[in-house]
Amino acid sequence: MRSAVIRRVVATGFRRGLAYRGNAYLQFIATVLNLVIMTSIWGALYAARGAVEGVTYDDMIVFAVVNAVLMPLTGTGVAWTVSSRFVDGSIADDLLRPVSYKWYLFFDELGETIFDVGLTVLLPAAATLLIIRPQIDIGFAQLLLFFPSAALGVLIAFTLEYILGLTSFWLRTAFYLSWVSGALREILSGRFVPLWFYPPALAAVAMALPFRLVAFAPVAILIGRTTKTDILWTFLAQLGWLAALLVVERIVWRRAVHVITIEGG
Amino acid sequence: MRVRRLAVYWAFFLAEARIRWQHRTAWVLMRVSQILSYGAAFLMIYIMVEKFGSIGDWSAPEVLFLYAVNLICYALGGFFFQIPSDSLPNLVRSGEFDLLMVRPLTPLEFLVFRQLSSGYAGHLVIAVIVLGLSVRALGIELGAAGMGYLLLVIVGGSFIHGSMFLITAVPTFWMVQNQAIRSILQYQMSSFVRYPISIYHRIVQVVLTFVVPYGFVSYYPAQEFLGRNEFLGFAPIVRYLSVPVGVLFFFVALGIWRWGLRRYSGTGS
Repeated sequence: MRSAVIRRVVATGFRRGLAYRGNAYLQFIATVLNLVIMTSIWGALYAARGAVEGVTYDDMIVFAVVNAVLMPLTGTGVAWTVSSRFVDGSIADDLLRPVSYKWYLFFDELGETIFDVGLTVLLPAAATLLIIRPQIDIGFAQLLLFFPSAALGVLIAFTLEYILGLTSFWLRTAFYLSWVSGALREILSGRFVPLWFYPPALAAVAMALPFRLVAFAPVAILIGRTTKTDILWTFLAQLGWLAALLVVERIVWRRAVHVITIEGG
Repeated sequence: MRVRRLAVYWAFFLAEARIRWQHRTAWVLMRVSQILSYGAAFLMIYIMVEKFGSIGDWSAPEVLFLYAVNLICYALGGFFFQIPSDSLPNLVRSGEFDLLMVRPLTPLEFLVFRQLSSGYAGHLVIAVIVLGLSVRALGIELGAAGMGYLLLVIVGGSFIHGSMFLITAVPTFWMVQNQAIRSILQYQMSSFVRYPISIYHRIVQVVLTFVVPYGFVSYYPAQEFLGRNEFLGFAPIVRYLSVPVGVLFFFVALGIWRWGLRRYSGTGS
């Protein structure tokens, strides 16, 4: 997609977010409530303790806040969007566009998300950090490495959701999607309870799957809990999984379009 | 006439059940997905609290007890009131709601019994299982009296959650949809009480006791079952007040509903 087109699509998404800003106010409240719960939980858990598995209260506060900021970027409604358009057949219109449907969707969501994040999440996140003032040392290198890793995480999340949306096409219904992907994320992503606290068996399973690479891995790099070698492994894993998922997505997409073309949606 | 009403409710129930049965695959899939989803949430809380030993001095099974009771009450409240709450916007917009106002059943009765929600079966299954497991893990012996009291507590909590469904429906008389409000008041605020509310700031505790009384759904009655004495500075009697608070709050909700209804029919569209 040409950059001019990309800019337009992002701007449209952004404007849509602006149009639904009533929604944004409520999302702001939701973020505030979520942060209150998170900080209260970790505060109570760490009440009489220092570090657990080498992770301190301050680490967890930053972890929770940064994850809250990443949430709208990675918890997309893409699966729902894609599947519903397949189910009702309007995907036919999307396929007629001169741009790749997938990337159109990605930048459209991005536009709306920038608005969402900017307005509703950054403010409460910043406020939380200012109120609690966690003592944490974030080196410049970690900050620098965080952004590309987080970007890869966002792409992985999107592709996963996209594939999920495409598969619903076979089952002709999409409601169960958000529940299933939510359940998987809850257990395997490590963004509510970080992987460091997992029982070994579950941690092993989570390590083998891409969900942890969406938000947990980048944030772990940021707060300095990842060794240099592990940072390298993280990037390799992210790139590897992204490549694999893109292949899967292409296959599933071809199949879905084929069926639509033959059956007529 | 009492008898005729019951016959009508039963007829509605059968009609709905028949429709659900025709789409049973989708229904089962949805229930399984929800069981998995809540199961995942329970699991993560268990892992988290176990790792740290306790949260605010509550052990993992105790926290799961809280969450499970809350989920049961939410499911039962939704069983009666979710569909009225969610269908109201469309009914109002299409004008169908006006027809309800001239039927022999009150609009609310009609909406509630026209279609009881079968969507909470999954919630109930997983919540009851977790409740049973946590009770066993804690070595709590309920006995007949204990079980009876637990059921009473659940009834009270269900009234509270049902009331919230009802209250969040009222804005749709004049607003397009209430998804976001519902999400905040019923999902987010309710998720506060998955954990012992002693871990929160005083303001939160006060809100959950006097404004949106979710505290009475699980936290306060749990004091009795778990043999604890955390009343957050309030009178110890709060642990017995689930049913009174539930009923009271329900009357408040009915009042708000009637007020909304009056405003709606007063303006005449």
